Amino acid sequence: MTKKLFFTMVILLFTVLKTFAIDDEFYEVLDNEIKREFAALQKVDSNLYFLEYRIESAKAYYINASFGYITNCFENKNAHCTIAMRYGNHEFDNTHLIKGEQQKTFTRSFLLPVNSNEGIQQQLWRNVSQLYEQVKSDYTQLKNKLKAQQKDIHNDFSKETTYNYFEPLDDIEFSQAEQQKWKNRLEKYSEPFKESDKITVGNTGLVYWFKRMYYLNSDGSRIVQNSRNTSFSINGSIKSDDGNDTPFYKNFIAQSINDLPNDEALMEASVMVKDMLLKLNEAPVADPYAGPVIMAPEAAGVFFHEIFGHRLEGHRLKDENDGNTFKTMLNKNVLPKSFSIYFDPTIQFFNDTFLNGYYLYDDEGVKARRVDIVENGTLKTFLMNRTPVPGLSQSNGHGRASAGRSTVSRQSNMFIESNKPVLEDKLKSIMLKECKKQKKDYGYYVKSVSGGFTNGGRYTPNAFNVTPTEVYRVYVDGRPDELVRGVNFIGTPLAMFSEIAAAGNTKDIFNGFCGAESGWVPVATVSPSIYIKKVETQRKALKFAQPIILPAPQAINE
Amino acid sequence: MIRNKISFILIFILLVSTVINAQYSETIMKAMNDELARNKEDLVFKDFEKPFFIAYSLFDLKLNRYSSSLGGVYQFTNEKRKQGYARVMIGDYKLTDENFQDQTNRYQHNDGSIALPYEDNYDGIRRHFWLATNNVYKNASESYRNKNAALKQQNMSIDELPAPDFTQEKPREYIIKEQPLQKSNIDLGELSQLLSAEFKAYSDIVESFVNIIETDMYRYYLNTEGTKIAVPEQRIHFEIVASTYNKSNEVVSEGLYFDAQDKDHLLPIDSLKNYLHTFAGKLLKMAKLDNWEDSYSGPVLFENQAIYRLLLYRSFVKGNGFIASREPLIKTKNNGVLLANNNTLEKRMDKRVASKNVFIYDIPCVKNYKGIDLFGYYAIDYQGVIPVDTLPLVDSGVLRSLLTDRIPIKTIQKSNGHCRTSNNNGQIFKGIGPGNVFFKCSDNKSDKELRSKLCELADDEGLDYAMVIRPAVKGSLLSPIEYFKVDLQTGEETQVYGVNTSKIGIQSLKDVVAASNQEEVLNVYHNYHYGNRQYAETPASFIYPDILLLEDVELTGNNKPIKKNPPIIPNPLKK
Repeated sequence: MTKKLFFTMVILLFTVLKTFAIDDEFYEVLDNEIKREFAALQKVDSNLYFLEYRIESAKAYYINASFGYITNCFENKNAHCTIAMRYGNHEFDNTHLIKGEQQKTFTRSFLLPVNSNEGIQQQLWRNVSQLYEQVKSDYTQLKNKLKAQQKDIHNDFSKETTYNYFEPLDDIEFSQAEQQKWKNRLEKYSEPFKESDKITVGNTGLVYWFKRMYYLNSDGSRIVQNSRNTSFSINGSIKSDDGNDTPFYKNFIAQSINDLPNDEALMEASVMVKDMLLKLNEAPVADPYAGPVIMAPEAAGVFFHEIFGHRLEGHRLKDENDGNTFKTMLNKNVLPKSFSIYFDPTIQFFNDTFLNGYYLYDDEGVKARRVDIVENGTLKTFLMNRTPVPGLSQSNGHGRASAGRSTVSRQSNMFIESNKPVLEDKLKSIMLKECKKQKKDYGYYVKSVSGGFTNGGRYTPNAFNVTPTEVYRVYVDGRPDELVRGVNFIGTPLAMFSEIAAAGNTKDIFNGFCGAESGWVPVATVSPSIYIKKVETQRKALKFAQPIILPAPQAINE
Repeated sequence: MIRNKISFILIFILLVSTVINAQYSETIMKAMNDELARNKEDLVFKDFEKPFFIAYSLFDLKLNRYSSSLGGVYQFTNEKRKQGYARVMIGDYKLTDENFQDQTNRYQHNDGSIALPYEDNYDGIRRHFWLATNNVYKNASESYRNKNAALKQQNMSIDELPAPDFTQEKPREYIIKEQPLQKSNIDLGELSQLLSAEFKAYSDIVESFVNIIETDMYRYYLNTEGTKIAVPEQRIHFEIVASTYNKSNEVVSEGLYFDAQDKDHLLPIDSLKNYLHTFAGKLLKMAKLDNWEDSYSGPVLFENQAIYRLLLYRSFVKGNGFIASREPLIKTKNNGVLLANNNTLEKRMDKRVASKNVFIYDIPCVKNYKGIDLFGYYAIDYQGVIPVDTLPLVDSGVLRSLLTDRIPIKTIQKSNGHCRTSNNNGQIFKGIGPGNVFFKCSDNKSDKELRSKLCELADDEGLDYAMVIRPAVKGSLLSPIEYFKVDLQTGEETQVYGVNTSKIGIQSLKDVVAASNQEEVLNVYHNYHYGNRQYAETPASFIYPDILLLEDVELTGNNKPIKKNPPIIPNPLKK
């Protein structure tokens, strides 16, 4: 019993040391400066109630190859600082949203000259001083405007627990020899695209970065985290005889470069992309269609992220210009009862694969946590940052932004679950049965999706558009599945969610980077296959173009 | 034996300590040549016309950027890449697809081509030009047909156009395979840190940085007429920028900008530091001055680079300057076709544009002048045209020519070889630019006589004072400009701040009274797009008298600024 307690104490002591042992000169300068600046401002103006520094000290390597040769190779190092300031109080401050107007900017972003303490101090001082003048003036204007309209009853900024967390430096090494090895590999992986004159894009790319992220605020939070990421992409495009371009991609994301698939697997992936381009070139252009569709797990992940996930981002509920699809749907059914969805940024791996939406503290210094969004089909909450919305006054650790942007609520790792999973083959037979019922010759099986967009505003149709890259017709009469090209999925979200009917029994991961108003953030979705009773498709916009006139030059040499 | 060994070691040390510049590549030349030949021979689509002219450009670039502040590093980037363009023309020299604007022809060059290889890869370079040529050809064909249709619709004949669309020039071969090895191996990153740290001595300077951008490239150009060019081009660009608060607590930012051809032509570090300290001191002094609220119309004495910055720079710009600009045929929304009627200096050809005592020549073939290597020297232009030996632009005040390339204008139907490479922070373009511009005034006076004349003219005008404009830092660089009121009785100067010079321009050449007989050489990257420093800079030299007196110049003061509050937070660098 005593031993167990001692062991527990040792663990506790170690944790405390890990959390508070700070040996980082850069951090010391930031810590001293934020204390000095906030104290100086507060001394003369107590309305200034919050100051925040967010710094990404990043080192990134980029290598790109095309058709068997390196096109680009460089590295970049910098320390990007974003400061945020709030004037007034938590109930009403300079960020307050006035009906019909854009939110006032409350951040500034700039580079810090690393290894010069004076330079860092000067930049912080200059920018904090200028931002102070701006937020003070914005606050006065807002206050005057507010007299003319009813104040939103919800606070502008939530009060949160402060955290102290410090990870020791865990830099990446990417030696010249290692870089050369990857250059050779990237050249090799892009070589297969030379096979056809019609392939106009045959690129492979590697991005490997390390970020040391510092978060400090005037409430007392001090967080220093490491983040590393590797993404490897294969990107091809073929020009068909009708002159149109058809792209196909494959991406791999891992935490460390050593966690990427091995040489053989990456080569196979590259050949697969090339083969798919050649098949797509021969594939017929799909006609407009409305009927049953199955989405493979990865495609379903993108689909859910785009059309469902963005509408769960809580800060949007405050925006009068947003469509607010789910504003009145709390505690109501939004999906079939068998479906549940949660977000959990603290989960690092799924089936040994790294999840790109992993983090421990968000970009507002709030501890990351699991958020059960949909339980048995019922919407339970939203993803929250420190912007309170009706019924939700606290952050749940989803305030995110890329360097230089203001934080808003964003997605992390999304998990889609069904308590009535169906065998994949069974899912297909359900779809074919529905096809017969709807008098369709075929249903669609979507294997991969390149991305898409969703309009959430009020002044444009509240619609989505998703672009699949690998789509098959699955025929009712038993003919082999047929690859088609030029399909776009379109629709309105609520109508679409009501058509989701079942989920498969195997899950897969979509890892990617999501772009929105707060910049690009890493995200992941773990999803099963999804069967949707009715989806509408339209033909992809086709450019009037002509095929390539002369054969590729290397064909002449051979 | 020992002696041989020592010699060998010395040679080895010498070799490793010299800097290897961008190298000429036979592979690049061959790949461009082979692809050009293939396209010239075979490129034609269905019933479209075959191209009559194809040109390829390739820039094999090494680009290093160093940005520092107070001794710390903002950002260092080292980049190596190739950039290429294809130009394809349909028709003939009289009528091409170019010089025509409608909705379809906005992207004539390099549309949708693939990235060029990082290394000298024969197949990769050919692939790039294969696709680029294909895409540009299609656009050019479409544009050519649209242009012909538009002319037909308007019953306009080719003869009604101001000039042929493209000049015929002799093919040239100009290949420089070797370039001298640089002796200096100075670390420019360290230099930027070292220089930026000098600002630590000025706590009232609230922001400062030193940027050094090094461009080292080989430029290749080939066309179907048989022209082949390969030339090295280098540049090291310095930007020293600092900010301080003025009396109204507004931030005032100024910069020093200068260039060197390569590391061997860099000024010694002590000279660079001296420049920086002079600049910092002058900036702080300037910021303490009250805002000038007066307005002035009368004689002004210009000194040193102020002559370039306020007068010559503004005269060598596109449009209403000495750079020719072809007026294109435009298809308007209602399908009508018209010739653009731009306000160009061409309309004043053979007319007086300057005082009778003004002479302006461009002489690009001069390599060195009075012991100074000139930036504006070149043996052949971007398009393979050998520049006119001496090009008189203004003779006794009369406009005699403009700088042109192979797109002729009504009054000048031959290229005078002024198509130049321009560098926009590592992005390379072509454009018409000056070489070595010699500005001369035939009325020469001594410094003392000029100052006395200045006061005399001001007195005649009934003015209370005269004005002098000079750079804050003297040298072959661009520095902030200082303005001084001159007491007509004592000659005493009082510096003023916040002077608006927007009324000075090419028209001010008509007000030249006299100049000193001392010349100044300014090596500069000239931006021919007035008002946008970051856009397209071409290496040029301006040689002008170091003092110039103008009779009637309008200067205005700015409105009194609203006084702002000083920063609440104490400056962290003020001890």
